[in-house]
Amino acid sequence: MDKRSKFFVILSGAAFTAALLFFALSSKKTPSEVGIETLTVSPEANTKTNANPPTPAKAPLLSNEEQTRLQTLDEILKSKNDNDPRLDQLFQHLSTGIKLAMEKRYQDFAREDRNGRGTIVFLISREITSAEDIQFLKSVYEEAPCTNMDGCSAAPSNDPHHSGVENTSLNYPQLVGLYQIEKTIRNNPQAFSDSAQRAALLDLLSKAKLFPVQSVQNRASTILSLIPNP
Amino acid sequence: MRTFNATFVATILLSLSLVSLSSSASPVKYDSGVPSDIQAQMEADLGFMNQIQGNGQTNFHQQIFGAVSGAQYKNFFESRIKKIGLNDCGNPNAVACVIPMMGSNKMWLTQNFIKFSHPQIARLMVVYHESRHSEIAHGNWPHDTCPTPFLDANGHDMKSIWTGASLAGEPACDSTQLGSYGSSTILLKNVAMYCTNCGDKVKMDADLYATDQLGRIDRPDVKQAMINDFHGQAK
Ligand SMILES: [Zn+2]
Repeated sequence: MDKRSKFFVILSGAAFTAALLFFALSSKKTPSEVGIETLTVSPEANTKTNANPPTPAKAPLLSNEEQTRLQTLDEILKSKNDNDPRLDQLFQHLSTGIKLAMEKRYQDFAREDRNGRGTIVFLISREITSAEDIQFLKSVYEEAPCTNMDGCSAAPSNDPHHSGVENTSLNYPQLVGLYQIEKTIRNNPQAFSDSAQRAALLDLLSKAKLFPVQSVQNRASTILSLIPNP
Repeated sequence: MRTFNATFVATILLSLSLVSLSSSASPVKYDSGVPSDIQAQMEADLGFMNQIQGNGQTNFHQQIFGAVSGAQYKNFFESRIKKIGLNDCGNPNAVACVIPMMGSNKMWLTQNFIKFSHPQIARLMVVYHESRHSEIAHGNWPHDTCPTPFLDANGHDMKSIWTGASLAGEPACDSTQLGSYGSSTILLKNVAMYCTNCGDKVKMDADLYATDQLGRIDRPDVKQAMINDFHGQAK
């Protein structure tokens, strides 16, 4: 068989497999038929530690459309395509219910799923609208730091060459939350001007300043310097 | 019947997209020992880079990469890396490396490339950092030895990792913006600032990782020139 024939045989095989896959997927239950409790497993959650045991939080009542969105979030995270446009198209102007469901997702993800957890923090901190949002974000700074990508409680690695990348990924959820808060304040200095929100934010930042990682502390300090005294 | 038609059309579209995927796959050759899931992730990551569109770039970016554009990034990578193999890169937490004595135009990926939960931009930062190390004409852009003491902007000792040893005296710095740390910082800062088809998360990630990597530039004047470049004040 010449190269060209081989190529077409491979291509035909791939197309046939794709068609089978499509039929298999299209025969699955529709999102509205899937209960929220079936959607809570992170791609990597089965094999790793979960330092925050699932709280017996009551599953929020979500519309079928919101359940579908959560399923989409799982698909995006599993794909590892961080530039999936649906992150911006489907995950803005979030309801309290879907935020609570996403926070539950955060707890269910393995601690080592730094990108998964950080993505949840990103989506919630991008639009802080309530005291509950700030409360959730504060809890992120009350976690024990993750010390190794291979196991959050394992001894740290010590290769200086790419340790900057590793350090940022290890503290990704914490850094993302502060990044978005700083962005919000820089874009709108009047954000968090409500006294209750301001107090909650200062409480969050004081926790972030106590997080035992210098890069997180530095970001918290920068944000504190941006907040004027009342 | 309507369902069948929709399914049929979708199948055809899927098949066509496979054809286009196979024709747009990178020309990089993978060793047979590289698992298919690692190859697929690398192709997906490079595919993301190759489709980036931008509406500007800084002067340093123009000097190293050209415009913020997928075509430029594709050319940059493919003119440096011809083969990809599997290796542990001598470190249990490594993601990728170039080992000049084993072929300067070869990049090695580790199992961690898909095992660890790094954001996509973090993987790409390492990949582009390592591709810079493939340049024999520049001695593979060796790193500078970080000064002693090596302090951050707040006067704190720069550490390898937050619990780890000091970076002072380690070959983990650059004294020029053209090296691996410098060029990957410039790449990501420009993606954060000028990419027009990147989502909010990707732009945030690019900024976060670039800001960290800027800390590896150990000459204050070079670091300041990079900051000026990012603010459009480069000379
Ligand atoms: Zn290097």
